[in-house]
Amino acid sequence: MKNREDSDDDPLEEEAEATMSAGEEASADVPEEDHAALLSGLRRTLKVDGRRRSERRPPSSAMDVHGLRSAGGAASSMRQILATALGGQAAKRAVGQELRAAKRRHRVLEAPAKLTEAKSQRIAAYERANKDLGRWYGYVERNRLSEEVSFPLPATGAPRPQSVSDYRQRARVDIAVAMSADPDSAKGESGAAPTTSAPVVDDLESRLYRRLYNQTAIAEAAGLAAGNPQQQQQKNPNQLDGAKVRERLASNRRLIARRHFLEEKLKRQSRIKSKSYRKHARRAKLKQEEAELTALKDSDPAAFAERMAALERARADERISQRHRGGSKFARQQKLRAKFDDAARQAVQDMIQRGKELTEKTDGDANGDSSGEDSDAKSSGDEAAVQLPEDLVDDWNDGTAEEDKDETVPASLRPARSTGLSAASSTLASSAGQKRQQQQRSLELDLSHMPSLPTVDAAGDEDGDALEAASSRRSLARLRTDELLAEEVAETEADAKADFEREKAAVADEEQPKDVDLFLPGWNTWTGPGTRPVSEERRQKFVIKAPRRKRRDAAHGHVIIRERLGAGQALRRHLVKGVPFPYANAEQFEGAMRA
Amino acid sequence: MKVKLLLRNPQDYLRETADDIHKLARNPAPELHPMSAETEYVRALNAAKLERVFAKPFLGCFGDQGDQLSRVCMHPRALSLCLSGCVDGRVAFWNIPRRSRVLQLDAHSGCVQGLCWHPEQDLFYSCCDTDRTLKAWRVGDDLTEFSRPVSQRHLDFAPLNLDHHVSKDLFALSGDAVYLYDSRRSDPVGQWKWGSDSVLQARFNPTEWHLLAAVTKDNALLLIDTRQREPLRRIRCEFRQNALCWNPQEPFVLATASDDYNLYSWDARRLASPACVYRGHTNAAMDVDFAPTGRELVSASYDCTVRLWESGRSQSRDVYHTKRMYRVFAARYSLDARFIVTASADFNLRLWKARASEKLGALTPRERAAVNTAEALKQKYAHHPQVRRIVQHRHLPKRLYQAQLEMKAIRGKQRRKEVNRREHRGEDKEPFVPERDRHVRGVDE
Repeated sequence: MKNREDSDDDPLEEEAEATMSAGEEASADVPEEDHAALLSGLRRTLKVDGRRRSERRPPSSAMDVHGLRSAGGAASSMRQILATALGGQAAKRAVGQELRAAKRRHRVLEAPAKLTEAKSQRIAAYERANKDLGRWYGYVERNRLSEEVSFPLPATGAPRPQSVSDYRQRARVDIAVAMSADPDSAKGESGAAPTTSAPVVDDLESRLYRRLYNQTAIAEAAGLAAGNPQQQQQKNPNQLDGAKVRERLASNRRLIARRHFLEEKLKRQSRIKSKSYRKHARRAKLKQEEAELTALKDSDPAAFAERMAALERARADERISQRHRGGSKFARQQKLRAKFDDAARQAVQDMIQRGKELTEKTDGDANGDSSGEDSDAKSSGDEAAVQLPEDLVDDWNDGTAEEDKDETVPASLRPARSTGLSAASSTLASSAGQKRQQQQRSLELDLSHMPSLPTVDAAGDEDGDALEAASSRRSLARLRTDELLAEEVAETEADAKADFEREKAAVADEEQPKDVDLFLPGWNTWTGPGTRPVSEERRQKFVIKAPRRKRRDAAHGHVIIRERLGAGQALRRHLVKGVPFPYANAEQFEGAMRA
Repeated sequence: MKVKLLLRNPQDYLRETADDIHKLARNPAPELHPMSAETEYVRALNAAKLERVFAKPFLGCFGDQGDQLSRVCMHPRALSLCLSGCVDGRVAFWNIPRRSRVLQLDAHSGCVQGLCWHPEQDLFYSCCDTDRTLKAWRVGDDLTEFSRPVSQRHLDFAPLNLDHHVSKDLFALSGDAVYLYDSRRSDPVGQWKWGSDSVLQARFNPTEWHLLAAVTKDNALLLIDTRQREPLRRIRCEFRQNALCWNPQEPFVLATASDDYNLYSWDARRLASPACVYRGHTNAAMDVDFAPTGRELVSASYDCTVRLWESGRSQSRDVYHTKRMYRVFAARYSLDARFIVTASADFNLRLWKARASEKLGALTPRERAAVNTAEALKQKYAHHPQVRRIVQHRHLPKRLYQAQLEMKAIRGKQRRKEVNRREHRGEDKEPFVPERDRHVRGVDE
């Protein structure tokens, strides 16, 4: 706005200045006062604001070069001048109308036609392109909705070269094609568009095409390049005649079939679970081995010696293992060996003897459990017991004795253990809790019997004896109270711990899924009074064990984490929370899920 | 005498071979199967779990190339061939199933910026911004022939990308503007520019051949009609778009990979806002490619991952990463939409399955049936929380996981602030702006 005011300056003043400067040059002798008076007179008559504007004007971007911009301020001042000059009311109206019309005609010019034309052309072109693209809409929609999409993979034989040699071969085909086919069609453009490499395809269409246009040369060239197998065979000097080839093939086939049968047989045999079959098989095998050995002894002493050496090695291995069992595979083999070797027979005897010695029960064994059935495991256990040093065993016994001694000590005097208490100790602790209450009462009584302790202020007034007596009494009292308090604290701690343990065990028991007993008395057996009860082993077969869950608070001794995973809670994780997108309501969704 | 025969088809109860599993007769009467719904749900759960068990998308690495890889280009007709461009100017020609390099050539003296095949001939083009050349290579019979370009063109601008026309002998070079070249003419046939910055990539629409889309360095997306003298429209985005790709099945859809970690798909008919915003990357997306089916997208990112997207779903379907894969600069689908080849900054080309748990090789009819059943079950129970949880779960490296958490926190904070402002100032002063409308600064006509 300011720019505009500045640029559209008072025309009268400008004119006056112009005339003045011209006048100054022409006649410099006009007095200053007269000139000023003339100007003021003019201003008065014309009622023009005579304030001088500053000469300096900021540079204006809107240069009114062609006079296209009609100045509002100038127009208004000119109108005023004209209006005053014309005077009459009617004339004024006419002039006003004229001016208004002129003002209406004067608008800001449009952008040059060149620019708008380009833009309109762009818009028009875009709309045309839109129209072209829009034609695909139906196709695209159909495609989007269809279950399957078919996209064009080129059906013509695409090049599948694997290596440089393949390329060479392909190039030979290309050259052959180029030479045989019409020279005009094969000749490519020079430079960036070289020869087209027409891939040779052997499908129905191309064959038809060749037949129609007599392009057998292409196929021939392709055959040549690919290396016709028949031609190659003719070239091969070491070829066999047909009968021999057939014979060889048949023998191969027979071999393969035999191997297959054998494999099948072995596979079948390996699947047999029958114990008796296994026993027979074992015996048969042993017999076979024996027969083989006897045969070997006469026919091939070297191989026989080797076999015996292998058996000896097996024996050594057995010695290392210290199993010493009579019925083992090793023993069987040794028996076999013993037929040919007295020493081996003796070795087997020794071994059995040793095994017996080792598995013999020893009396007075405190730890030994008499009901052990697995002699093998037991023997090793006994050996371990024997090998234990004396002092260690003593220590072990002492430890147990001390434990026993501990049990005899009243629970109230025992220090509280930080480790988890067993069920037995917890019962002990509960009895301790009852005692604690009694002692609490006795403690109160004791304190009431005590003589009143002198205060610190009164101490100065007392005589020495009294002081001493008081102090000794006090120390005694403190000792007794400290003792009692420590005992008390230990007891409460142990007690709280026991309570906590009990509570935790109860929670764990509550939250642990229970075993399901499906045993029904009388199922498949006689039942009722007088019949033999069903064995526990059989009974246990019908119990479905609940999975042992690891509790989250198992590692934390002082925390109980409740895992209330009811059936509803577990199910909720699997339920859909809201109606998913394509469905409008729950019924629709449920219907879709049911279908 | 009339003999009543019980007619039975042996096929109903006999096995085809002795190795076959025994056929079980099943009475389909629904009242005999009161727990069928529960059974089906458990089967769906198991199908989802098995999918994750068998998800082994990484097929192999193509061996060290000596420098960072910048471009990958699949052969337009052969499934098994692809090209890779290296930062040091080498171009390698790969056999994908054998994971072997057929040939390698020192094509340029700088980073290979553009690679594209001729659609019909055994010819490919490469360009480089350092030596400012465009070279055409014939995949010939001989190494000597291969090591020399068939033709070479010196350009007076630095080319940043290259794309070939689908059928004609035309290719689009993007540099300081988009240039359209005819392979038989020395001067460009057409030239388009809007704004002062250079063009990163321009690609032909595979269906409407005269349409080109281009992304520029000044964060704009251009739509160009090769029959017009000026670009049709310019979309000013918030961030730079690094790459673009047209949907091969849907001619008006294109996707761009953006510097703001997102991908955008655009409907060329309505360019005022993106059709979909694909969020998930934790660093700039460097490349994007549509599957030939047009239903899926693959994106390569600076956060060292490759993500797979269903077209139109803003969440990624899968994310691929390996311990050794560094920044990924290019990713391309194979022609059969089953495999993905990526080029990354750790000098390696990698091959991935597009479906992580898909079995490769032929399927017996029974296997096919089992796969179809599992798919149907997963689809049916997709909305169930446990199934969805299993299907969506991906193990991510700690770095990525933390980055995702951070981005989630940032987004949550922004959303909370918006809601607060709306509540405080009123709906009319702080209207809700959908996600799609937040990424475009303006459209120039």
